[in-house]
Parts: sequence; C-alpha cells; structure tokens
Amino acid sequence: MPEPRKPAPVPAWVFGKLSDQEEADLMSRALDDPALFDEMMQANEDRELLENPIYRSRLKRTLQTAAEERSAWTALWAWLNRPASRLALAGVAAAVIAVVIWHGGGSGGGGFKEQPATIVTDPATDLGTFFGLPLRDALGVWIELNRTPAEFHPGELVRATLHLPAPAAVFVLRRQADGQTRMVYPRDLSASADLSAGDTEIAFDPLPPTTDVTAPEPVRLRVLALPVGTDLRRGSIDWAKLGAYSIQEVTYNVAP
Amino acid sequence: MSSEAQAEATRRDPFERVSKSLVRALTGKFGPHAEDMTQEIIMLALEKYPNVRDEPSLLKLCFTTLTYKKLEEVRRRCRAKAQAAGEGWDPVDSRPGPDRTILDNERYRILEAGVQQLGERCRKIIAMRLDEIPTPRIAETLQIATGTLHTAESRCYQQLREITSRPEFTSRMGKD
Repeated sequence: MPEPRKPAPVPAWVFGKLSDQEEADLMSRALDDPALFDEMMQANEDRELLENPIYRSRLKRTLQTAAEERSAWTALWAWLNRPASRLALAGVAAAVIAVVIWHGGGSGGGGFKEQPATIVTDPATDLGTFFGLPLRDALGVWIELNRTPAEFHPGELVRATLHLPAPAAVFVLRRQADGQTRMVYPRDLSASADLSAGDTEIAFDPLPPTTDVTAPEPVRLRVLALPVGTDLRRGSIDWAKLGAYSIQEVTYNVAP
Repeated sequence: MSSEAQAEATRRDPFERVSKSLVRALTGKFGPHAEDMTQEIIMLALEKYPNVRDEPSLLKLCFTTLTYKKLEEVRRRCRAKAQAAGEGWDPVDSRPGPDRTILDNERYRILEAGVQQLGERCRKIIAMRLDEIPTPRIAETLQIATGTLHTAESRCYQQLREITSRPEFTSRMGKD
C-alpha cells in the first residue's frame, strides 16, 4: 500500500503568510515533487488574487460578518435554552394561542410553522435513517480523513482522526452510493462507544471487502457524537430530548 | 538523481530544477513558448533580486512574477491574432488593464462564494490565515498538531476547488 503523501501547506501559502522556513521548505518540496509543483501553479492564481489588499480585506470582512451572524444565532439559541427564557417564551406563546382561540382563529391564513417531526430510534432502526438527520455541531466534534485527496482503493484502509473537545459516545456510519449503510465504529457490539476528549485514530475498510468496484464511487461518512453513555445499538433515543449532540459528515471516493 | 549528480548539475546551472519545473508546468498552456516564458520569468526575478543564490528563493520569486508574465503572453498572442486579421491594435502594455480587473473581480466573486459554502471550521482556519496568524498559533487555537492542521487545510482547499469547479460557478466565468 502506498504511503499517504504528507500534505504540503499550499492553502496556508495561498491564504496566509508562511514563515521564511515554512516557505523555503515548501519551495524545496515543490522542486522535488512535480505534483506539488503543479498544485502550486494552480493555486498561485488564488494566491495572487489574495495578495491584492482589496480582495484580501473583502474576504476577511465577509468571513467576519458571517461569523458574527452565526454567533448572534448562537447567543439567541443559548438564550432560548435557558429555563427562564423558555418559561418567558412559553408564556408569550400561551398568550398568543389564547388570543387566536378567543378570536376564533382569524381568517385562517396565519397559522404556526410546522415543527420538524421528532424522531425516536431504537436498535432495530435502519442505519440509513441516521443519514436523514440534520447535521449539527453542538459538541464541536470533527472528523478528518488522513489522506488528501480523499480517494481510496479496495484493500486499503481508511484512517481517520476524531477530534473531541469533550467526552462523547461516538458512532461512525458509512453509506455507499447504493444506500448500503454500515457502522464502522465501534467495530463490534461489545466495544464501548464512549471516548474521552482528544484525538482518536480509527481505521476501517473503504467499502465492504466483497464489493466489486468498477467505477469511482462516493462514500458518505457520518459521525454521531452523543452524550456519554448513550448507545444507539442498545437503547432507544428520542432525538428531540437528547440534549447536546453532534452529527458531522465527510465524503471520500473509492476508485477501482 | 544521486546527491553527487545533483551537486554537479547545480554547479553547471544553479537554477536548472526551477527552469525545468517551470517549462514542464507551462508547456501545457503555452506550448513552444513555455521555454521563452520561463527564461523571461527567471531573468526578471534575477534582475530584481540579483542576490538570490538558492533555488527555493528563486522559485518563490518566480511564482510572484508568473501571473504577470502569463498575462503578458496572452496579450501578446491576442495582439498577434489581431494584427494578422488586419486590426490596428495598440502595442502591448504590460500594466494591468481593465480586462485584468474584470477577470480578477469575477475570480474573486467565485472564490468568495466558494469560501462561504465551506464548513465552519474551514472558514475559521481561512480567516486565521488571512489574518496572517502563524501556523503554530492556529494549531494551538484549534488544539491540534500542525501536521493535522495542514491536512485539514488541504481538505478545505480541495473542497473549495471542488465547489468552485461546479458548472454553476465555471459557467459564470465562461459568460465573460
């Protein structure tokens, strides 16, 4: 099996400023590695663009504005999660409902938005169902495939790193293009899903070993990080009442 | 190449590897002009920075002059075509013109739209890079090793390239 290529800091060269040593190392590597040289030639256009202070500051501003909007939503969400806030909101909601009922529902045009359906899963639930759950990142969990580009061949192992800021019960599901879904972490039912905070390396087959790959195939990988002690293989889960959890997804390709 | 052979080659032509790499990379787009362009790029870099003695430093400078030279070459070709067609075009002006500005604006819009579609972590890393925060500090902020940071960044950049090469993005460039 070929050794995965150690990523060169090309994106850092494009978007940021490498130290003199980092830049000299990158240039030396590029001279020895034609693929890296080509990658840099391609990336050079973006780099040149961002050397223009106007574009650079515009992109910085765009990212900053987006981050501020997100943090405003996060603050609102945090406020909504406080018991006192919920009580206040419940009071307002009750008052609104009372007014609507008192007035006989009005003309019928101003109803409430339908809430997303609550999902309860149990050990018999088809694993594909978990790919229908919306992505969220309450725990700040992150999975990273240790190969770039993320392309694997049958017989190789996919190696990935799970980054957990806090302990969590972690399940990793793999879904093929034809819908076949399998849990690749924990590897068996007897293994605990609970992980402590920090980085954890996992490895698994890119596809089931019996799969016949004739054309490149995209594979989705979903990480479910749930409160410690939660086990979707052993008990039922009411996702609406679960509390803080993360669902993250990455994809990779499997080529013949 | 063995280290002795490499040392000998370096003695003969200290910038051989730079010129070979550039010629190879430029040949796809500029064909027979690639060699001339490479020479011009290296000459320009050495003219501006005559004290450069090592290949990595020269390559760094070449990347800086590359786009400028590529643009000049494209303009030269346009001029040659126009002259052949009997059109009276002005002589080549190597300063950035309105065509470059339009192209850059469009490229920026695509880049910005692509970056906005990236995940939160990717955007966070890019924001820190744009702020020119050193690699170790970014890694420290994200509580990851620098190698892991480079891997994450490579994946983000790959995603960005995938997003910006989608038809809805590339067709925008094509329209201009």
